[in-house]
Amino acid sequence: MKGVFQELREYPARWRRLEEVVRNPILREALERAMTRFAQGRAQALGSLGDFREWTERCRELKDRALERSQELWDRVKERVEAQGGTFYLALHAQGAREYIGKLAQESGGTLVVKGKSITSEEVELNTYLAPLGLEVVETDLGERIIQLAGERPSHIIVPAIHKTKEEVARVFSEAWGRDVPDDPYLITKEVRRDLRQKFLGAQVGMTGINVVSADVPAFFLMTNEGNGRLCSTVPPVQVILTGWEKIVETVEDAFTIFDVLPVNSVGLKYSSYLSIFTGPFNWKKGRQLHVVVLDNGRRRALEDPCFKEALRCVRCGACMNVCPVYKTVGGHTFAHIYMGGIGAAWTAITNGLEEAREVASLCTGCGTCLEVCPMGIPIPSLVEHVKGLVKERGKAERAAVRLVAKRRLLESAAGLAVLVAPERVSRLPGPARAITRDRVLERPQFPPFHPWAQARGLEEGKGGQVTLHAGCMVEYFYPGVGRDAVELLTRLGVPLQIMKEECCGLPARVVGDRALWEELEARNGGNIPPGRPLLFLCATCMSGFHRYGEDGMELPPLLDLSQFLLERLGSEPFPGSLKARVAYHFPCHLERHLGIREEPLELLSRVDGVHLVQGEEAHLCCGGAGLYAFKYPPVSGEILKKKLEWLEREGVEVLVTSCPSCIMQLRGGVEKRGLPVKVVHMATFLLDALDERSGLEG
Amino acid sequence: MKEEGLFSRFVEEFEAAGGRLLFPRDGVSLNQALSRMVEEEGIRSYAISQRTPRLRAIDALFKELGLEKSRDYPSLDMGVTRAHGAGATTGTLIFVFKGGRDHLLTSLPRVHLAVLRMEDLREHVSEAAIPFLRDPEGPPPYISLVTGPSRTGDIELTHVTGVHGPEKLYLVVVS
Repeated sequence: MKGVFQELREYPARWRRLEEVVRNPILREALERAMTRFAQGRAQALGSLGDFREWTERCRELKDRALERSQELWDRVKERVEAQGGTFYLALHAQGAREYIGKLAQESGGTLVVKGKSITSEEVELNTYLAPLGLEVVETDLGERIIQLAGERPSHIIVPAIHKTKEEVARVFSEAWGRDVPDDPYLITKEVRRDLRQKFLGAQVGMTGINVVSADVPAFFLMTNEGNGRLCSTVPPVQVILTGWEKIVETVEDAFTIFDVLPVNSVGLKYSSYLSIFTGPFNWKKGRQLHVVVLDNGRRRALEDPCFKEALRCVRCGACMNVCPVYKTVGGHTFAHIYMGGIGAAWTAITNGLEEAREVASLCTGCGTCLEVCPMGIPIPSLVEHVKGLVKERGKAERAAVRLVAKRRLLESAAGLAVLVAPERVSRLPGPARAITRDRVLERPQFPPFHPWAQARGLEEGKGGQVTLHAGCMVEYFYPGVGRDAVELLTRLGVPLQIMKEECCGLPARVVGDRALWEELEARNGGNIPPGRPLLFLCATCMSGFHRYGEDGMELPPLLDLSQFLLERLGSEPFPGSLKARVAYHFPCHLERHLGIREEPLELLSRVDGVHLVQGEEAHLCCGGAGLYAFKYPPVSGEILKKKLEWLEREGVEVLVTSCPSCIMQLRGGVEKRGLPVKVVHMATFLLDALDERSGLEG
Repeated sequence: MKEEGLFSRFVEEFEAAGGRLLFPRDGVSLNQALSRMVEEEGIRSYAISQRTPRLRAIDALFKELGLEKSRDYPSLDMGVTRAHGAGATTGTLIFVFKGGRDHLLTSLPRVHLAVLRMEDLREHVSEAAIPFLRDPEGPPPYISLVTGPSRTGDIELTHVTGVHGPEKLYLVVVS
């Protein structure tokens, strides 16, 4: 418990830091602009690729195949590089790579090293190691050069200095060169060209990373837009390639397949300006050398881990970050150790350490937006959970919170107590906790809970009915009205119901990495599921939890969202009710991205007479609630929420319908805080109101 | 893809990536196209890899135009080289290097003029590149695939060409 309180005490300081980050208008605007542009570019360019899922499958397969026999493939590459007079060095750890490259540079007879952008070199912290050896390391990618001179770290994997305005960039170069540099991107670029040209021509060593290495014809593939990569590789007498063990593929055809997807997915370009392919030392001048440094640093161990193994497919396109709501809000200085974003949590765990990885993982909401754009089919949210599960020293507070909410009796008493002592709405919490209510009003639990009411109404646990209605903890204690509406709705539509004995679905435990509790709750719920009839969910998150029981091998009846169930019953008929309003649907992350239910809720709403359905990509944005996340990182959660609210306001939405009580809490809290005339209701409530043709909606 | 369709697809992609096709163009001879480009770009110095008759002819024209042929590659206005292949779907040119300084002509000068034979055009760039990689005599040490001029968006996402490589990429296609 001591650890828990200690952690809790750290939160307010964290909130203040995050508050500063999300309040930085320059960073926010820059991130927003960059990522919107990349995402739009990607969407346009994807058209030329054809079926993205098919590409994903191909990329995934070819990479898995190669990783499976990576040792043999690298042996082949090593043999060929050495046969042609190059050197090949396998660095087991970051230190080995640093020292090897440092020694090469020192023995090269010069002091200047030019470098292409390489996250692998960041991983081994090469620049900080080389400087004290009397070597001048010059980053040659424009963005990298800017942040190198500013003494900062990259905030985006593709556009490292995206957080800097042109005025700031001009200031950085003015200071570095001791003269006034105009704040014009074109002129700055031309001056940097002149400045770095001298460096390319004067350097003894040129070092780059590599995107892909093919083994059948051993070849190193490097893609850049500025042309700095090929100058680094071809101009200085000593060429150094630093590459991770995971970059290997079997054939040159496989390499080209990856490049068909990489630039499109990354920034929406069909092809980057330069793809340089090296098959051995390029001896255009006498005495040129090629040194290949392959970095293990935890990668081969990760190959043995069924979960982390999936992260090794990453080709660092950055698409997952471009769509990530957290990344878009806080950027790559905050949501990173060295590797950024959710995938960065896994990579940090593989290469740098679990403690650091846990911090990165903690910021992920688990929304799964990344799943839709990853060309390598990497299950990033699962990797994040895996990281959390491996670190017991951190995240004690959230694990304690999850253990508390898994105790039904305790929740019931708390709900009873809250009704007696707490106001219906809390719009301002005292002390540091006020951060929680800055962007949202909190609702207190309701009493009585859903199950006692349902039983009083004659519904029985595990008996009778054609369908089992699953309420979930949030409906049980916070929104029993939603449960009542669902029962009323289904009864009036002629659906005989039963309920089941419920426990926490375990998903909260799973996402904070508490495997033991997850397994316990999985087993308990498994024993309670009534056989032979569909299980109907009022909470998308619970449904997603139950879905995972199936993935773990449990035999399950059909799991259905209310919209799926009702649509199937309706066939091609309209819904027997009407409601005149501008209605939007909020897609809960678990429903859309974890369960893949995308069509049914909209289809069902469009069958209700009078509904004017407002659609838009914002309907699919995470609301930032994410269960406990809104309480863990309220400033981030609040900023994510803001985009949704701005959309509702812009579109004049009157009723926002959704299927996850946790989203309802976040969205309703935000709507109220902002004073928007929007009603946020569960699908069950909305449909019951339509059935009644009630004009006023009740929550 | 029929040859004509392939070529127009290539030109479309090549120019979308920021390259400029000088020849063939309706109603413009090769000499006219090249003279015009030299004037527009203000080119005074150049170097050329003279491996094909066509390149020699272009070299003769530049001499006629009074351009200075220089071996000081870093300060050249223009480098002229042969492209060994091209891929239509991305508008990409392929340059193959076994040694020598020709590669610097594609990377250092402000303007790069490439000369491609129509028969070296393929649908996908990999079809053009892989035969070199699988050459029974052994692959060349360096192959450079070029799609448009050198570019960046690193400062406020403003698109700027000519960062470290050529600012302009021109192409002449011959049959």
